[in-house]
Amino acid sequence: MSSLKVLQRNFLNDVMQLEHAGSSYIKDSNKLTASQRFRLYQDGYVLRLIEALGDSFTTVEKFLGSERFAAIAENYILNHPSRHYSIREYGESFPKFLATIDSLGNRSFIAELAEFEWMLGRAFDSCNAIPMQHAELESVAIDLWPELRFSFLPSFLSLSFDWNTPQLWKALTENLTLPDIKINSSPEYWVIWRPELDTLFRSVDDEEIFAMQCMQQADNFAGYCETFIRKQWDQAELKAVQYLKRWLEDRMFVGLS
Amino acid sequence: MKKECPYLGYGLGLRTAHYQTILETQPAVDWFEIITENYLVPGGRPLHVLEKIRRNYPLVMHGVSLSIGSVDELNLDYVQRIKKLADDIEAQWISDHLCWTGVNGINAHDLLPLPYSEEAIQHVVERVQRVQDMLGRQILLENVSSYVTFRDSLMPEWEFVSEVIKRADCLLLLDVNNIYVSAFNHDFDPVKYIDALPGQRIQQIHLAGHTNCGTHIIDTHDEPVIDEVWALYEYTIRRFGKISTMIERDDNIPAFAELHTELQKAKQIAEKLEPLREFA
Repeated sequence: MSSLKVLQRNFLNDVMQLEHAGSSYIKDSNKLTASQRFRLYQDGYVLRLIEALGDSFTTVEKFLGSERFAAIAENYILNHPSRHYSIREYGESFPKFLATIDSLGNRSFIAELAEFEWMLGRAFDSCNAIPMQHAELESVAIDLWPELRFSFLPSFLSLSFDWNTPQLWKALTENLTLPDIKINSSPEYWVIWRPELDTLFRSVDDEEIFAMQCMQQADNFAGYCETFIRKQWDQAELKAVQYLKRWLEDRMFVGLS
Repeated sequence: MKKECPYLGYGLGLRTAHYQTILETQPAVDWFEIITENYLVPGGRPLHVLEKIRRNYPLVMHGVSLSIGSVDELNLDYVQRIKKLADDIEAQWISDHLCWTGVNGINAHDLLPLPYSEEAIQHVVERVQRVQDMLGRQILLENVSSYVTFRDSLMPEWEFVSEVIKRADCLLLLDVNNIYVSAFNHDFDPVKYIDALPGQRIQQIHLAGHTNCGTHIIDTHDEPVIDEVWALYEYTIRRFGKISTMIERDDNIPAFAELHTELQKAKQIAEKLEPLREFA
């Protein structure tokens, strides 16, 4: 193995272990020992990644407080080396990590809060697409509608929450009084999408999320209607069309052209 | 393969906090430098803003993850993404750092120093040539600040930097603040460093602030440029002629006007000195 390879492997390994100051390959100087010099890289490594996590999870940091957030982040850093060229991707596994932390007890809403923030970030950076306009649809002859395929925007995604997490996120983001943290009687669904530059999100009920899933899985409009109506909701035919109209108004679909 | 890089004048690092000011007031700045990785995204507001800004200003790209000195395989997907972005925004040039950022597939997101050895020179030179072939243009490599000296280092930093730049046939992004930081940390004369550089290959200069901890200096980019670094900048321009120069601020980012004022100082220093140099 080349000496350069050995040096880089030892150096990075020592940096990431945090406890061991690798000094065998570093010279002392008049001002600092080799260990003290090496420590600067260890400290920099941790501080940089804590800062990156703080940038990605601002409301989680705000809720936990900087000190507690940093302690949790340091544990994450110890076990999750970055493997991406962009430091902005570093927090991808952080929400799941938060869900495993015993000290957070039954406060799994913190993991949900992190997941919500991460997904907002995904939508922010996602592929651009021009949303479908009413006029586009109106220009299609009605007898061709059954074959039309409606695609949600590339930024579109759905999440389910066991807690009133979006309300907590809003309060933290807008510096409002924090709501009482409550567990939902059943999972609450939210969708996130970005029609242009601003990211949007709203809650959807069980019926609408099912309709959205039908639309995502269907080959065309006829297939969507067929699957949705088969579920036998009240006034299913009418609702299938009403949802389509709502999603169109919300600019959730990719344009036809 | 070579694409002559133009002289651009005086620029600033493009930062999110200044988007609105730049779009609304179109300040008198000659060019902007972007952090490459911030724009290697599929879409969204940052790319939208960048497209607007590039209509009025030349842009250059400055990356932090090429890891040209790593013993890992080059990340060819990353290089291709850089190339596409450079084509999209018509980047005047592409730069990264003469360092390594990780190994074994891990990215430390730090600009880690190399040992100054013949082995490291050969390793880096071969990789720079491959990257330049892929990009179809010369790249700029920046001298990094450092806090350690490896036992494997067999030559001074300025000799290492100069050899890499010359043998790889690439260009140098000279960070004058980094020379000052490393000179303090390693007890060498910064003027000796500057004197040893291949002046014709210096395409760009970075100026920045730092944090002096007494026993050592950390390269934090969160303060104004200090007088000693201004003096080194003046020395560099006096020696090599005018070079495209920018202020690099990454933290504790002030109002745009403050950075603009700081940039005028660079311009005043350079404009009173030599006329524009001729590139060889």
